[in-house]
Amino acid sequence: MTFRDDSFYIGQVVGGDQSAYAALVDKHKALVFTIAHKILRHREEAEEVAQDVFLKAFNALSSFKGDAKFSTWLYRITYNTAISQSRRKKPVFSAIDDEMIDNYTTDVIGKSVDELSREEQITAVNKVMEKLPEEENLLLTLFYKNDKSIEDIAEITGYSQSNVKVKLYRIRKRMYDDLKRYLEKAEEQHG
Amino acid sequence: MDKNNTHIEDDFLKKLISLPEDEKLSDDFTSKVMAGLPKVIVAPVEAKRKIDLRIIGLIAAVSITAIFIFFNFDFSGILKAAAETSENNPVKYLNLFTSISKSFSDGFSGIKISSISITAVISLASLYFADIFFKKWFNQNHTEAI
Repeated sequence: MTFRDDSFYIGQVVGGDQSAYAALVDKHKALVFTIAHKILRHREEAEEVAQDVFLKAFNALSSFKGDAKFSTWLYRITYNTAISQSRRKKPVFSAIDDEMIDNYTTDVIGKSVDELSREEQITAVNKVMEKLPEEENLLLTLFYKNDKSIEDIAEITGYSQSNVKVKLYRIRKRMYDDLKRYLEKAEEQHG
Repeated sequence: MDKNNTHIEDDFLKKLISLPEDEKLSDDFTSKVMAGLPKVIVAPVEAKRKIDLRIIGLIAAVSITAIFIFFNFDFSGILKAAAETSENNPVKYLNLFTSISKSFSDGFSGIKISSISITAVISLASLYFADIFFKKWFNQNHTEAI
């Protein structure tokens, strides 16, 4: 399905055509849900938050000035809503050491992962990502899977761009560390 | 990507993380969202009257009165007396005054208020006052409710 520019639909909704909002929902629902799901890790809760986000955005649409991209503004609402929901349930802690990650480690892990079957690779990624704190999981997904820029991620999360880069660097390192541990454990079980 | 991003750029990780499929939203997600949106009620815009009702009533009353006077009053005597007036004969002015009085007395004496017309006038007045009363009563109750 091809969509027009967000501003077209926004203009229609603000002009009184409420049905045009469905196009905005269809266009952005996947990433809104992904953000909520990465933070909440619960499908139904994430869907409820996604609905809530679209309702909030609709009510605030007339005050949307267009200073930021609509999508970024929407994802920011999603991030804040999901984080608030998540904090109600439990505090989020993350501790990553700042040890440098070297090319040797990445190459070795890369080769080991390449030797796995597709299903095994998926299982490995899911296991490792499950262990990551919710916010790190989200940053990783936005940057590496959804191709969001550092600038966009900074706007969505409210962190500075340099902070996002530092976090991504640490998360990447942690990801490799955890992958390494997973592969070693898997090798032990097989061997 | 600038030079500072070299430590986070990672095609292998990108490929690896993209492998698992994302959880899918329920098919009726959009319709659920749309059903949850507040309904925008567009109040019918009442056409604004350009002329106040009282002015319209006044114009109607004046027109009816003028038509009534035109058909019920005999002005020929007044016109004749007016034509005969002259500065040299002040008595003629007296005749003019008499003609005016006569025309008006004849005209008004022609008005007969029948029982039907009295009933109509009383009914219309009752409706008018009842309308005012109910409007005030409704406004008062509505304001209290809010």
